[in-house]
Amino acid sequence: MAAQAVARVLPHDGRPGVGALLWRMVHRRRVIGVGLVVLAAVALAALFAPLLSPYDPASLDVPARLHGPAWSHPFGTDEFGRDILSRTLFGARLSLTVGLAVTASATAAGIVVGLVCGTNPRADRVLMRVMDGIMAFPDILLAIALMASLGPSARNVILALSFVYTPRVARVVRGAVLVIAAQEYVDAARAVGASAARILARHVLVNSASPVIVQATFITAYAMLGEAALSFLGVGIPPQIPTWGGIISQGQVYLRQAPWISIFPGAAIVLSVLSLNLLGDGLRDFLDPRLRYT
Amino acid sequence: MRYLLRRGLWTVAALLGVSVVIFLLVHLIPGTIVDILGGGEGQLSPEQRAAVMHQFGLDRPLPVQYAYWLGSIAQGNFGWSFRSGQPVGQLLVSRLPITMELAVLSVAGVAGVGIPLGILASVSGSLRVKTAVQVIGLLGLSLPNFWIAVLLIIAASYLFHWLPALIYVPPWTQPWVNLQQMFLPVLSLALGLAAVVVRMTRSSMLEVLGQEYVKVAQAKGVTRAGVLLRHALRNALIPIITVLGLQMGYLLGGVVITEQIFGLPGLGWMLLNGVYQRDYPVVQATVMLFALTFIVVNLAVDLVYTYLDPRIRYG
Amino acid sequence: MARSDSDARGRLSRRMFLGGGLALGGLAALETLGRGWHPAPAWAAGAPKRGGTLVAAQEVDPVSLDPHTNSNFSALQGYEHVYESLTMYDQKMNVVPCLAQKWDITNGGKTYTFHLRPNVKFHNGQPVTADDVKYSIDRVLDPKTASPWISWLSAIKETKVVDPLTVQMNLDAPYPDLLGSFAGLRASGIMPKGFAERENLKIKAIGTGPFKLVEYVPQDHITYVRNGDYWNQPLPYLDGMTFKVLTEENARLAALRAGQIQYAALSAQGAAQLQNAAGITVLKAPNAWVSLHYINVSKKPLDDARVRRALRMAVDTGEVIQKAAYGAAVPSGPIPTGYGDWSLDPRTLPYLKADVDGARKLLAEAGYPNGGFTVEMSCSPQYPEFVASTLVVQESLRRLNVTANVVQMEWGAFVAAHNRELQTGGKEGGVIFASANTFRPGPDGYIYPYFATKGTLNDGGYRNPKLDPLMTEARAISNHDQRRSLYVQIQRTLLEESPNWWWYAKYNIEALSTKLQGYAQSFTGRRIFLKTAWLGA
Repeated sequence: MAAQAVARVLPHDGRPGVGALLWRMVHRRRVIGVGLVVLAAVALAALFAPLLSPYDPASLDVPARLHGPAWSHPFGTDEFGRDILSRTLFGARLSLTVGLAVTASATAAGIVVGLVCGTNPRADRVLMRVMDGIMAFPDILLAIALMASLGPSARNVILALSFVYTPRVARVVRGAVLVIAAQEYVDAARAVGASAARILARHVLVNSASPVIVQATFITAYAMLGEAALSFLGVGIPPQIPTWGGIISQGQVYLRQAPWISIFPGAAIVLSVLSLNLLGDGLRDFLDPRLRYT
Repeated sequence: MRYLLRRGLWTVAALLGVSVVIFLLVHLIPGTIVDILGGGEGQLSPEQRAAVMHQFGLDRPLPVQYAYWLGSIAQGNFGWSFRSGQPVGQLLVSRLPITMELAVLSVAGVAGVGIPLGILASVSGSLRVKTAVQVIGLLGLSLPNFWIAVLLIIAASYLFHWLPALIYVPPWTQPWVNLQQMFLPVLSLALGLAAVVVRMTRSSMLEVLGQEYVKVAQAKGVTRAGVLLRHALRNALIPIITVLGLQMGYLLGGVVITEQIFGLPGLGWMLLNGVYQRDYPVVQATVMLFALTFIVVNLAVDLVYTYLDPRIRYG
Repeated sequence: MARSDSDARGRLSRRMFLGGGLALGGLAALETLGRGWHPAPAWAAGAPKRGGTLVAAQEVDPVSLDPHTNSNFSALQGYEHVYESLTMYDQKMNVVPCLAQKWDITNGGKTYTFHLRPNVKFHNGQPVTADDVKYSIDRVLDPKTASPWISWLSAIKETKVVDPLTVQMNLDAPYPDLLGSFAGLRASGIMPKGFAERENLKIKAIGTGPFKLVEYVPQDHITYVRNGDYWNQPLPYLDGMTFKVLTEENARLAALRAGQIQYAALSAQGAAQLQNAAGITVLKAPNAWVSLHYINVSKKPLDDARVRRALRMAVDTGEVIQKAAYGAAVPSGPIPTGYGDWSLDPRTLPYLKADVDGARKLLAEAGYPNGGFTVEMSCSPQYPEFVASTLVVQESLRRLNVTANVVQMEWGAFVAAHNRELQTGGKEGGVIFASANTFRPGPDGYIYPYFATKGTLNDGGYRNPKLDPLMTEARAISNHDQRRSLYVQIQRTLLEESPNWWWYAKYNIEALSTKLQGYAQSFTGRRIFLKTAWLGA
């Protein structure tokens, strides 16, 4: 099943040529470098938002509303006259926080569940069905229902989205564990006397790192977009608090008249997702033992 | 065969689990149909509230309500919508084809475009091509689907001066009109999915192409294209199919917003409204249907694995 | 209160005044009010022509077409073309005869005798008789029907059939708004006897209106066809109408521009995008939508009228209008500005400008010289307008050193909380609720249920022994001038006591293709006059 499928991606010995090897190294470095740089820039922007923002993101300046990008407002203003640049900078904080928090908790929870499932067949049967059940729900619906019950706030958005995305990581980890456990070198290691924990740590985690990282980068993107969708539907983070998704959804109505409201936070999301993915790609290439030799 | 039976049993168990969760979840959301009916403007008196609660059976204890609901589902009766009074089963049947068409066309579009693009990215030597494919895919992944949807509407109407017919027609009545109506919604959904498929295709193709038996085949004199098609593609398809199966969740979620923006009377939008209006029978039945679809699709995916890789067998 | 059933995205379409150079502050708009408010009159470029099908956009799915049991405005928009009642409104908001040709009011205002128009037929060919009227009214008043609008007709104690064309209603006390209650059509649609027991009224409708229902596909569209036997010949002119549910405003705009639809209701920024569009006209006028905050007056320190008034004084009404309604509104008291002569002249309203010093003095008088307390305010992000007004209040209260805790909830949860507050007399559920009042059949609907001791929608149990007799009297006198002066007095007192905070009456903005002629807006916010519209060249 998924286990065998994942096995396709995992270690296998091959002998590439020198040219291919060189190309990989160059490509990898560039990729990681670009990803890191962009991500760092975004993170710094978020961190220093109060210093960098020309205006208070919440200050309303109605006569200046819906003005296009100009010297006074480099990103333009929204329907309340709020400065989009400031809101985008502050929005970075919340969007990145939501994205990373959801990724962190979903990944952590997913790894735990995946490990448990992979090593304990009885728990596996039950837990995997539960995970399947959760995945069978439309993400949006689950999030909406949770948000309607818990109330709109950043914390609840993180909770709801983490819950929704945990099963994906769990599945991937479980698959990796199952495959590794069946590999011969694990038997060999055990024969030599290595403890189960050591096997887990050395082989399982390292070898499943690759697909988990890929999933994690996707989840960050999904989380940021999920937050945007929840704002769009009115059950997300309260609208006066700037998040990239929230600004985009509020700017929806003005798409023809004042597209800058949606474009700049949209570009911010694209940049962040892009850099995260580049980073993820690069990390995966580093960590994947097979590719190390190619 | 035994395998199918076991999976069948687990499916039932999973569905039962889903039923409990959705029942509890939807009942726990604050507010009931009574609040929505009153709406705050017209106010229902305590007697009226009691009458409505009784009419919908909401005054019974939760476990009793759950038992009744489960029992009636087992008999094929999905209840009646609190809001429109129509039988839920009928609603499901009339709206399922629309959502199905949307989902199937989107998956087909993604596979039809994403897989070739992924293959291109994996075999092409040009860095430019690889980057271009990656960026296009990532663009679809990082833009909110409601944004993509509205951008498409605006682009179509203002740039191309084209809009499909307003009122939905099913494909068996007027297939061409129907396809036009589906075009933009499918495009917006597919763009969101494409990135994942492109990536997975590319990476799994890369893995496969680097493997020994491929080199052996090349040494034997099989042409590159031959290698691609016969060996690589077949094995590369496995993780791709996995991903497509996993993407059902995303799809079912995206469908909700897409249907609403494009005005398609499908299951997703009905579900969304059902949640807002606390229309329990509609929400519960629709989620069960989604869950069943998801499980069935995953079963199909697993069965396709056996076809693609004879080494995979289920005991 | 607010139209429930927000659009599927979760937002009510925003109504906004044209931006840019034409932005009028709410205060500036007051200048035009001196001339008296009438919705943009129907212009006529030629004589009415029969024929053509109107394709229009409906912003929110109607959900149910039952004329007696629903509470959302969108449902009314769905069934108002199919059902009629004993009376109706004309373009100047006068109550005029409809199914009842004339009526006698006797017995000190407690007995109404309606003489029905002869030879009116239902859409199924059945003639309209007094039995049908009695059936319909009885159904609304039956507690089992659970009509949310029962209070509009609850003054009726008994409906009697005198002869096939005469109905008599006996009230327990005089209630001059009764005629408006019929015209308001919230719970007064007349249907054939026994209809509700035979059919699912949520998707089927048989009435006497200018259009017959052809089909209603929930969340997709409603189609109507011309009622050839309509009693008010030669109306209607249109052969039929199709309303497609388009919750996304961008989609409505695109369809308008493409000529796919000839009518849509819009927000102001949407309308602004049509400024130079060929072939489209935009109409706007204030309508019955009063944005307000309900206050649970049982919670300290809001039980003190001075505190409530002081807090209100600190907020600038013009600012609220700008930020919540984008300038497309006029200040309003309890009865929405523009409602005949019941509403107060907005130029004479208090609190138009913020008076922070006066507010501080008043707070000191009430025992809070430095503010120092917290109030909780609830709203729903699915109505951004209410969130905006709440945030303006929050910011203004800071100047008084009063903290406002803004709690945002999903709409259904908000409604549930408000209901809980009403049912527990203010003990649970919340303190301040941001919402709106829509159309009421008469001034009484904005006053008595909310502020009379026996009122059913009284937040927190507001009691004013001086106002009670005035409110009870005002709802019963038939002399218009006397009634009016009573309501002026009542409103002034309410504004001083501030058991609610009232902000503005919003504009209703509708965009029409120039082909659609003969249409006029209605203060009710409904599309009543599609029946007088026709499609020209």
